[in-house]
Amino acid sequence: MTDNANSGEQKGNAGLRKKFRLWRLARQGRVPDEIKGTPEEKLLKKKIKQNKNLKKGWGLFIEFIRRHWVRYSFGVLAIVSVNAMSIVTPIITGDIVDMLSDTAAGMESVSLKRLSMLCLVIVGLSFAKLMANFFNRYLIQGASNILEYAMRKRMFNKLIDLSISYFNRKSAGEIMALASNDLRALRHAVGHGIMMLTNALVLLGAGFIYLTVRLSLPLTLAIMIPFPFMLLLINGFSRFIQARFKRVQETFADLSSKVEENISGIRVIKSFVQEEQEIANFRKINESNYDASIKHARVMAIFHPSLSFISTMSYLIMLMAGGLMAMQGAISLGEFVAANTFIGMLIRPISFLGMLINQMQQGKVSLTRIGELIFENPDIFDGKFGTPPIESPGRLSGRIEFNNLRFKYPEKDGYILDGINTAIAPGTTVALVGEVGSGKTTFANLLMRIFDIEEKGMITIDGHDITDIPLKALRDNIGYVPQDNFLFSESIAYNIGFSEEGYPMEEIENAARKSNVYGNIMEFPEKFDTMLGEKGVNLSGGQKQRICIARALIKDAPILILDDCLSSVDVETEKEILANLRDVRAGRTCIIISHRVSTIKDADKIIVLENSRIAEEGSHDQLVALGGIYDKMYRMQLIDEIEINGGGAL
Amino acid sequence: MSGPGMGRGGSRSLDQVSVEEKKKMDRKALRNLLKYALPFWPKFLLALMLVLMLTGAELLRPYILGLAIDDIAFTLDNPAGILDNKSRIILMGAAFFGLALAQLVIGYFSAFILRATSARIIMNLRDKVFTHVQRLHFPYFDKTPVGSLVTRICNDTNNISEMYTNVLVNFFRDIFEIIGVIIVMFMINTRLALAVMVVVPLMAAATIMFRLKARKVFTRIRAKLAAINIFLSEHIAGMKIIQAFNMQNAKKEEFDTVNHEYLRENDKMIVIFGVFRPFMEIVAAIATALILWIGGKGILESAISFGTVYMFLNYSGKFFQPIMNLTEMYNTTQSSLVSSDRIESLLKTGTEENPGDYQELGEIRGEIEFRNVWFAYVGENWVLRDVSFTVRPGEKIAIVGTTGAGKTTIISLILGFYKIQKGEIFVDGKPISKINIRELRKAVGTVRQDVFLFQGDIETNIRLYNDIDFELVKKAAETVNASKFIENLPLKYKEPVNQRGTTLSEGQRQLLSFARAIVMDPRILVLDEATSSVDARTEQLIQEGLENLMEGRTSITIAHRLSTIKNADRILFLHHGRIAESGSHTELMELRKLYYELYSIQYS
Ligand SMILES: Nc1ncnc2c1ncn2[C@@H]1O[C@H](COP(=O)(O)OP(=O)(O)OP(=O)(O)O)[C@@H](O)[C@H]1O
Ligand SMILES: Nc1ncnc2c1ncn2[C@@H]1O[C@H](COP(=O)(O)OP(=O)(O)OP(=O)(O)O)[C@@H](O)[C@H]1O
Ligand SMILES: [Mg+2]
Ligand SMILES: [Mg+2]
Repeated sequence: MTDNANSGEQKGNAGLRKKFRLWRLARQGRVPDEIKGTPEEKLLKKKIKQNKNLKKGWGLFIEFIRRHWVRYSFGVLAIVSVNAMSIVTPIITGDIVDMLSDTAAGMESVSLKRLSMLCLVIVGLSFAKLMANFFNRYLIQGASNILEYAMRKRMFNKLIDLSISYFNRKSAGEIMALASNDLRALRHAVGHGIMMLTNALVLLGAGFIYLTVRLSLPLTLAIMIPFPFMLLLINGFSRFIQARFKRVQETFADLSSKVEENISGIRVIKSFVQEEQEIANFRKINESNYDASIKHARVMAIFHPSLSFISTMSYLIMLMAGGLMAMQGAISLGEFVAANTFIGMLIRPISFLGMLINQMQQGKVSLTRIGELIFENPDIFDGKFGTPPIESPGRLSGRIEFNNLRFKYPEKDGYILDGINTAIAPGTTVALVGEVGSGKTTFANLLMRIFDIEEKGMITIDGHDITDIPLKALRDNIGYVPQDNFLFSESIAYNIGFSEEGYPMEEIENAARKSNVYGNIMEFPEKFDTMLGEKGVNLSGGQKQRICIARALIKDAPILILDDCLSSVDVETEKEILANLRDVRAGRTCIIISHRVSTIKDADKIIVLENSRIAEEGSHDQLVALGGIYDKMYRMQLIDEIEINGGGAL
Repeated sequence: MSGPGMGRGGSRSLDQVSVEEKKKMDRKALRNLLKYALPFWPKFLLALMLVLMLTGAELLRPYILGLAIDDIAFTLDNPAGILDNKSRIILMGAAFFGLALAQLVIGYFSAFILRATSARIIMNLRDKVFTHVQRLHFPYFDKTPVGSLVTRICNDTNNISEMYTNVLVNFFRDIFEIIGVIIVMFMINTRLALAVMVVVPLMAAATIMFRLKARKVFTRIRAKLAAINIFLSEHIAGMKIIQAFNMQNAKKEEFDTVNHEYLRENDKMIVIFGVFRPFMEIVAAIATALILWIGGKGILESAISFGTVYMFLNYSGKFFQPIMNLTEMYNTTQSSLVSSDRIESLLKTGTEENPGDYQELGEIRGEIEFRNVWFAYVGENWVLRDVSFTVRPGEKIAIVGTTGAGKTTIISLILGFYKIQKGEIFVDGKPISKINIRELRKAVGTVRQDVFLFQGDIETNIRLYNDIDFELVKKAAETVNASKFIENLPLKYKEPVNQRGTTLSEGQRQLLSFARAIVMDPRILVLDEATSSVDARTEQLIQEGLENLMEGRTSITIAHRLSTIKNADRILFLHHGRIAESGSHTELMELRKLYYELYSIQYS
């Protein structure tokens, strides 16, 4: 809500006023009509959302403390006892000193036994303090570790349920920054925050007890004149600290995002000798992180000294006013000295308070940033269109109907699919063809609800609206080979048997056979236990693709979607896989996307997508007879073949 | 054939350097931390001076107050001098105010100098690490998870900043204080001073123990943090697959394990430090008790004066305060040392340096020769076996073969990504190990089998950060027929592309990476399944576009579809890492062997 403080100081007065108004509106959480449609509206909405997230974040935090209240109570108790012992030990020492000084003056003689006793008490107390201190750290900081853990867990659990559209907006590096850097800031704020808060309260309490016993009212009031100024200072600074710390965290996330991308794309960078340019790009981001740190450093560097400057003013007042009063006999010398001690006692907790405020601001920033992820809602979930999902749909038969399906990607103009009307009979194989970017993958995305249709009724499976089928059941019923063959850095067996239950080795091997990758795998020294690098970097393109096919086949789902899954395999292998697929396809609804006629010729129905619509539809022979787009495509590949074969025959 | 067999086993070990090794690096790590700071020593010196001034000012305050108390006491005894003393009090007030003001200014400058310098050190270090990573030799990236490198470049550098803001200067200040106090104590009374010193070995032992333990745990903490980042980066990339396969719950559990391990290590740290720090206080308490006891006995025996004991109590307080400070900082120091270790070990990893006596390539003609090349990614799992062939300048070569035969590997070798075990590769007659590899790469335009797009816009994805005219970018896009979809985008060539380009279709991504390969007007064109995700019509158009472009350039095309390679001058048939057949399409068909078999299948 105050992240505008930074830019606010640079702009004119009018800008400042506008910002302030925006800030106030954001606090009230309403968007007045007059700014509807202006860029301010967007800004305001964002801010309102941030405020909401922060509030929810606070809720989480309070909830956490409530859940761990026993731990926290004991922790706070431990801090209090540490403080108490820190006060008691000097008193005992003081007693001994008094005794010794009396002894030295010859007034009385302390027995060696008593002296030894007291010395042992001091050591004993320090042991007790060790225990208390240990528990304090263990309980309070341990709790903040748990908080960090719990938040990270929550973050990931949310992340993994978020729809893919979220990951189109947010980069992996940014999310990594949240999970490491921001959570760390939050942990520090919570761990140290509570410790400092308790310390400050205890010490302030002790100070005030001392005050009521030893000091007169007017002097006390005089000494406390600077305190309100301190509050003002803290209040004023906290906005700056917040805004600037936010910048630091943001630029760090940029950095992380850049590095993550750079390393992931290092093969391209090296192939195209872009290292120097990348270094230059990185440097820019690195520098902006540096600039943000410097700006942050500046407020931080001025904050603490100013705070102690104001608190020193208490001394000054005491020195001047108290001194004069004492000279005139208005107060006693003892009272003057006592006031001195009193201020000394207050200075430390006040500096704690300063640190506390600072930590809190940083924690708040991080909490808001984390909240943006934790309180994000998935776009796709059961019961999204108001109707409850049907119970246990079981194994679907795979009759799919499209009724006037239209779709556009969120935040993009233009319909990718528009007015799609067709039906896929259960157990048949349908092929999707079309130019690059004609919407074939989109089709598959919609069927799996990776993206969601606009209205109910556009896609039905077995007569159920697709949004009425529970998401998990729907996806359980679909075997899918993605176009970009993604594999995890685990063993090959893990990647093929990729499911919660896992599969017996036989089935894994079987699936590998069907997808014709078994032979390859067996040639690796570690066979199915071969560990893959990230994204399967240590496999060839065709090997990756066939492992992805195996991963889909093993599922034995009634609906199978193969998205251009033979693009990287040689013709011989393709042929063999197709033959294997013929068995697999029996009794299954199969949707094959491909650019190669050879892959799809046998399909029961071929759908040609063009200009967001179905341009042609029918069997291979029908479409060839039609003499349209498909026929042209077929001929194009046929001509090649004749040319080659002709050439070869001659 | 070959065995990929590296993957995770190797990569994870990267984050688990043995404790033995750690110990060896111990002293070096500290030296490294200081090394980063060395260029800024004047700043640190200045900051140290300011900090000392601040400490001095702190000491002046009680002094002024003490004077005031004396004055008041004096006035109370001699009421006559009250006027004079009033003005003295005002004077003292002014001095006090001045002091506070000076503290404010000095406080600001010292804190700012330290923070700013630290930020600069971190920036420089990060820059250095990143630059180094850009030059790392290629196989390193095969076995290093992305998240691990990200952690080092971003998080580990960040982790040592506190070393410079809080520790370094205070360390010197505290050491000065300690030394000063020790000298004074010995000057006052040797016996009592020795009593205080008795506890020093105790402290030393505790510190050493703590260091050993803390080091181990910190090393693991950093490794676990890296593990979290590794997990995240991989699983965010694979999110679609996780969801499509309903693996959310399993993955939640997996992440919970990683996350929990991190928690456990952090908890261990709390235990270790929770004992160490209070333990030092016990030591301090023992010292106090010793002084009181010995001193008390001394007083009883009239061997020591009360004043001496009193002074010693004060001094032992002053002795232990900086020690406590150091203890508190020790945590930061250990954590920073571990991070600097991790950074240094990365900085020590080999780069793909050019050989010292490398030959100038000059204008590249585009001749490539493989002479008896043997290559394996790991051990002796040969991927290429005795491969020999020559590509003449301007020749159009096609490589075909079953999947996993080693086609992509040949490309990687031409670009100098891996070192071959036997044989030699020549470019324009010069051995590849003796030329400036980056110069060579600049002359080669590659379309990789795995497409990668960067965050930015369409234009920067084509020309990358090279200085290339927009017109040329456009022309390249037109040649590969990418212009068709680009022109349909709202902002055309300026249309933003998100990370990895996930909002484009696979074919569109491939077209962009194709355009990227030809826009630089390369002498050698390498196309690894460059049109695998492209429809037949588009491919036809690309082929027509390329025909002119390929003229006079060396080109190596890998494809499975005959339509793509039909125009090649010569076809190499790669079979199980060997070149089984080579010749033109007609020749190979006439040979009626492997090639013939493969392609009579395709169109039978
Ligand atoms: N980085 C790597 N580390 C270890 N092994 C690898 C690596 N890259 C490839 N391999 C192995 O080397 C062999 C040859 O792979 P390569 O990518 O060269 O095949 P390819 O001929 O291009 O196949 P495709 O047509 O499927 O792309 C394969 O068995 C593969 O598993
Ligand atoms: N996540 C997304 N957000 C926005 N637009 C997208 C997204 N994914 C795809 N598009 C756009 O939608 C159109 C259709 O994409 P789709 O991936 O369905 O094409 P395709 O038919 O599968 O093409 P290809 O043959 O290249 O795989 C393309 O113009 C693409 O740019
Ligand atoms: Mg697609
Ligand atoms: Mg390949």
